[in-house]
Amino acid sequence: MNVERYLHPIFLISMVLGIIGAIMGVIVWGKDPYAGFLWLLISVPIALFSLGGSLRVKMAKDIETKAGIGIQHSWWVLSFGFSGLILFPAPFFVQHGGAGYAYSMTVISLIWVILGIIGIYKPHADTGVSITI
Amino acid sequence: MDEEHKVKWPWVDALGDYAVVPVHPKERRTLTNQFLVFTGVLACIAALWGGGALGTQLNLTNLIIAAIVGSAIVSVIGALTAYIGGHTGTSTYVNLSRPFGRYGGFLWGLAAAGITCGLGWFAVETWLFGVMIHDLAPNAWWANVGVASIWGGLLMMTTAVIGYKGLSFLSYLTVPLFIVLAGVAFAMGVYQGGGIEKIFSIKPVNPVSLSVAITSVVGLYIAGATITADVGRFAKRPRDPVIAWVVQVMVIMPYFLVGAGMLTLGMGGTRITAALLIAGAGLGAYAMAIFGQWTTNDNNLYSGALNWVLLVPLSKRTVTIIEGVIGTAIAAYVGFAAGASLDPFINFLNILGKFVPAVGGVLIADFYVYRWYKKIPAHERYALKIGEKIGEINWAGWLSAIVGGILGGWYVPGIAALNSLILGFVFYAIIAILCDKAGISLYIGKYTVTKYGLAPTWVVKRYERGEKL
Repeated sequence: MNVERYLHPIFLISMVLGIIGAIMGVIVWGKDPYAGFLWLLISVPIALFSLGGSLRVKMAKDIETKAGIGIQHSWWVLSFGFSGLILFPAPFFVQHGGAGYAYSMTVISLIWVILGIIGIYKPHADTGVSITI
Repeated sequence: MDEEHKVKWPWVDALGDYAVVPVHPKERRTLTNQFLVFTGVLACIAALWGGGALGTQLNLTNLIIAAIVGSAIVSVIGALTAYIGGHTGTSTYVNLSRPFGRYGGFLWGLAAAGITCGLGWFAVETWLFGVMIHDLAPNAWWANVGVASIWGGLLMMTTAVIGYKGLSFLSYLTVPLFIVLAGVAFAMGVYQGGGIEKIFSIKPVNPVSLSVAITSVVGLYIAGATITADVGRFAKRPRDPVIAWVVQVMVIMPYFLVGAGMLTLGMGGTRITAALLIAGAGLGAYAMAIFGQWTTNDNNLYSGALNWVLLVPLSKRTVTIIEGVIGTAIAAYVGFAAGASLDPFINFLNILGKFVPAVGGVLIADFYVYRWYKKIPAHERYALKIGEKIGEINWAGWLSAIVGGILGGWYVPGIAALNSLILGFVFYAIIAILCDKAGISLYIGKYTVTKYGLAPTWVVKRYERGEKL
């Protein structure tokens, strides 16, 4: 059983989306820092947690530790994505950040939520490691 | 169960969720888990509303000072009790049985966690939930304070009924949301206030002294700081709950308080969720109201049930449901009868902030001073052992907590919560050491610990008859 087979792609996609979100955040910040703040507050942690998760999974020795680390970092991806899903469509961010940027981030947040759920459930199902490790 | 754990863990968990025995080594969790569960307790409307209220009472400089000083006091208290839980793996009730005796631990645990958190705080926070929802949708029937208290209370019971796993699950999902929401409140506050410089120059509408503000900050979380062992006992290493607690209280708590304070400074009014909705946070305002209360109140109910289960001959799950229904009924009654009045919340906070800390002070004095004086190594001080004798009543603990609570709470000027804690601590340390030197026993009666831990006799009998608890 190789949890890395799916954990690395999950973290890679999350990280790339996080970088895209952060770039959008810098653009939005240029227009309105109060709105751009949210883009960075969500995208940067997800990019960092995804990078950290991928590296830690790679370095871990046994499958249960890899699964546990994968679950922990997937929780961060899921929960920050969940925050984005709730907040990006809010009137303040649509008006101040621009509808295109806000709705793009809503879609990206939905992808983070889905990736997070897979990253939590799959290692749990494969190894029996608790989802609230 | 494997052989290794059979040797290390000789207990029988008759009540479930390790209420009266040490947590099984296989159930110990990571530092991340501890941080998220602790922050889940903190990530509540009370903290954000508290910050919002401070925003109307202080200028920004004093708001930041009050948030940092109050948080520092709470972080020290909570770290000291969390370390005990991390070392022993036992609940607040079991830990309190040392400085108060088995009956004392039970009664004080019931007072601090069972009544205060499980019924009092649960009811107050559920009522507060109703108020928040009413603010957000004042014309909707489902957002009537009483109606919202009912469905909110029932919602909050769900994860508490599942137990520690339920609390962890919800905290994992929502803590980052609150970190983001507090940041959003901060940004919106600065925007609405016309920039950071203008926010700094805003004068408070209801000014109070810094001391009163610090008391409010300490009072907001002092009960939580006293019962950190209920979460800390699940830690893999004794230092984990300490690190998790200090980081979340010293970083996240001031961040929440200042974030909420900035929003109310910028917009006026103390209702953080309503301010968020007006500022344009949309679903975020509802998420703050719902998840904020939920993550805190399930912890209140959980801690309360851990203590009530010793008194009521029912399963922990049933006790949680009954306790939740009672708390919800109280909240709904206040909601229907008193509408959106803040008075019950403020009165409750005042009493809480004065008395519960004395219990924490006695616990800290017993573990860190008296047992250090007795030259007992830290890892053995509260380690529960089969065959060990525990006093039924520790009269010195009772006396110190009662006198410390009354004097500190009502007679000594300053920060009431801190006074009570320090007086409880000092009285116990002096009485216990003097009695030891004079050869006077602190204990009345003896109880022998069995493989069922501190489970009451009726629990053991029912368990041994094979009845489901």
